[in-house]
Amino acid sequence: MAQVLCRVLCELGKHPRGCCLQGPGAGSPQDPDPVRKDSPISVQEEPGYGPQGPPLLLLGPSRSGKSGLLFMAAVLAAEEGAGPVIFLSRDPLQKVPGTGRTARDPLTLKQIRFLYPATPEELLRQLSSLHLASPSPSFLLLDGLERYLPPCSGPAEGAHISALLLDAASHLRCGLVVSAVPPADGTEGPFMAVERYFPTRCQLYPEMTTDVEETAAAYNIAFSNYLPEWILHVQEDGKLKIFPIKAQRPADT
Amino acid sequence: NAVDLGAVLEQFSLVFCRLKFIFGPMALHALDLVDLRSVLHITSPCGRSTYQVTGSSGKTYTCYKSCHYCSCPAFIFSVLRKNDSMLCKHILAVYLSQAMGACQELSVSDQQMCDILLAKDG
Repeated sequence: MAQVLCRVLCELGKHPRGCCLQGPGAGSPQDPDPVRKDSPISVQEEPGYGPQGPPLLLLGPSRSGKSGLLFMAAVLAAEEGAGPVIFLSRDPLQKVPGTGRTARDPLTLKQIRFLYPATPEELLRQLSSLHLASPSPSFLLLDGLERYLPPCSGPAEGAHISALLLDAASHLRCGLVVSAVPPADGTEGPFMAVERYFPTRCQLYPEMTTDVEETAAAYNIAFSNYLPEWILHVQEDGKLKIFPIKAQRPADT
Repeated sequence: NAVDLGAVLEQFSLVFCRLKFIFGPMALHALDLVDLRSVLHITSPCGRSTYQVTGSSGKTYTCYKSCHYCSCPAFIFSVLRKNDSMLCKHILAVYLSQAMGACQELSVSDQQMCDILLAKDG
């Protein structure tokens, strides 16, 4: 499981209006340590990767809170103070995503470097020159990979961007999270290649059965085993709330 | 001496049979590239490194160090599109050259490394 996203989910689960992680040892709004050793969500370093875990592909439909989750991951990485965080997106963020949890220190945001390459070629150029950055980035995030992969492009484009992302992250020894909207019509096209480069994936898909506030949309969050572990509520203003599924639906436990 | 040479040849024959069993005719093409010293290991002062392989047509292709990617058409067609092969002969040649210590070494500047990583076919 991807450590960085777990930390994001734990942080959002601590939000006072959201349902905190329940059960023995779970984090609480007063708990300074969001993930304790006996928490239901254990965040352990995976061998061969740094504290941020393996590269992660976050898949989900449009407006399902992916940008907010990525931004939150950027804030958490910046708060660790290991170095600048690179946030790549084709379109500039119109406003700071209101995730429900802000940076503890406003200066933290200065550690996040927002880059907006407009074309796939520009993105590749940025990725191929990341080793020139000083100080070296500690975390790499790409929001909206699909915007660099129009349907007319082929698997070569998807593979090239994915491979260069992985190669840059491997050289920099930094974390990598990429978000994307998967194609609606199966696995053909550029995405066929993207998924083979990211064995660790997190999937957001609409939750139909849960009662949600009228202003919110609900999504299941599942990692590679496809079993949903959390529910994400995305409000109209973009604010995110996380509910662990065991607490949400006791009958399932 | 003759006994040692025989043992070495036998060992080589076994390794080659295994390579051919796993990779098919690609193994022979990759060994050709190793023979021709076609694999270039490129490093820059910051520590970034990558590989360039000169194919049988004379074109050079970039193979990344940390994951399977090659800018050649066979990688796109056989590996990505048809999914009937794990890698192309250039990536296999990189693995074999690494194992046999047969890579040529080249140092470039960090700026030059950017252009090489862009993997525009040469």
